[in-house]
Amino acid sequence: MTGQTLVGRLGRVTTRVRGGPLPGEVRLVVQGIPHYYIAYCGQALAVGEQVLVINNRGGRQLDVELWRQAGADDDLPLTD
Amino acid sequence: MFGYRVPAPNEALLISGRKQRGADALQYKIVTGHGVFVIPIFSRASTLTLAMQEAEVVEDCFTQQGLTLAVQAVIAFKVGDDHESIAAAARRFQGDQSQMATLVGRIFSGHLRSIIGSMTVEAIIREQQTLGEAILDASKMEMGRIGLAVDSLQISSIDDKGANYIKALAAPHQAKVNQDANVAQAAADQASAMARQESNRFQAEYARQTAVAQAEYQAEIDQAQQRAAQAGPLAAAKALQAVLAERALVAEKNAELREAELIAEVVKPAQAEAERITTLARAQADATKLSAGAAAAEGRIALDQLVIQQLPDLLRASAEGLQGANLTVLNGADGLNGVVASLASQGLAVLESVRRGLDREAAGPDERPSTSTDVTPTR
Repeated sequence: MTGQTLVGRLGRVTTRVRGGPLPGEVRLVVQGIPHYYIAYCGQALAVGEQVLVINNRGGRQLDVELWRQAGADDDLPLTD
Repeated sequence: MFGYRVPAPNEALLISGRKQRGADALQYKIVTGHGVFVIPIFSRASTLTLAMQEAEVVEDCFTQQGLTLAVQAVIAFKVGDDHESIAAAARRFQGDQSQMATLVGRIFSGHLRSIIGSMTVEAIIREQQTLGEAILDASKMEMGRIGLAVDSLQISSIDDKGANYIKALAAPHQAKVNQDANVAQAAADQASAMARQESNRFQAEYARQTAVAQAEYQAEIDQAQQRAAQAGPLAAAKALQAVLAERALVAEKNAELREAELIAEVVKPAQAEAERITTLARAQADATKLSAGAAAAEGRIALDQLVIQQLPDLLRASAEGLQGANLTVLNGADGLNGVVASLASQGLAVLESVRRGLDREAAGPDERPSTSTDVTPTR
């Protein structure tokens, strides 16, 4: 698993993303294992929002965007 | 066996010695979850644990308000599961993995100070989200750079070192709770006292009713007992009364008998005797009267003569009695004659009285039997 494989994945916000330079935390499931990454976003994101990973900053830090998809809420369970 | 190595589920296998393909490729191969051939002599395999580890931190920290707190925290961390994290951690901790927890604890002491310094005591106690964000800002980014993922950070205890700040935070609520408890206790006591007093009232009322009923019954019992007790004496008295009545009759009969006896024995003879004595006395009285009459006739003549002889002396004595008195009678010739006439008449009266006295003396002893004979027994 490399850093490049994270981009394009969907995750959920577990600690709110405050927007701008203040990060939050997202949960991604990669190869069946949940990972928790530090996430930055231009806008504030509440806990539970679905996000799309658009960049891997390295050092367990990602850039994400809000991702609203009709009927896709069940794809990624929040907890195992 | 024969150079084939399989890592445990919580291990990463690091194989070094062979050149990796690719421009940005790692200088060693990271294998997780499956086996791999390790060519002896040319390659070398070592493991890096991916298991969770914990470090405990005890640190004196200053809060945002400047309050000193002794904070005890436990941090749970692991090496990240992605190859980048494994590589970063392997470089740092591969040599002595047992020191990983100690090193992380030391690093985290600073992070804890930073976390506590950005928060107030109230936020540490109450605001979980703020605490999570503070941990994220202060610790997770830096830990991520060395390939470690912080799974959990728990503050196990905080102590304000005698400042009583935390106690004071609880004081208003504690006072409110105490107040509610006291109010509830007072209300319960009041209800209890009311119930107790009501019970006492009812008990007194019941006791009063019981006493009244007992007294009534006792009065009835006493009445009946008195009646029963007096029935005997009453019957005895009635019987005695009957006996006395009979005795009275007996006494009456006795009296009648005695009277009859007395009449027969005493009265009749007495009457007979009295009659005899009366008869005798009458006869004697008559005789006496006759003899007295004769004696009086003789005695009166002699007495008159004696009085007549002494009359001049009597008149003289009267005249001497008047001689001393300086009496002047202014009634003319008639008056003077009246005085002389009265003196004469007085002398006659004196004479008469003297004679009567003598007459009584002479008749005295003979008249007494006649008076005694007048008394006659009535029965």
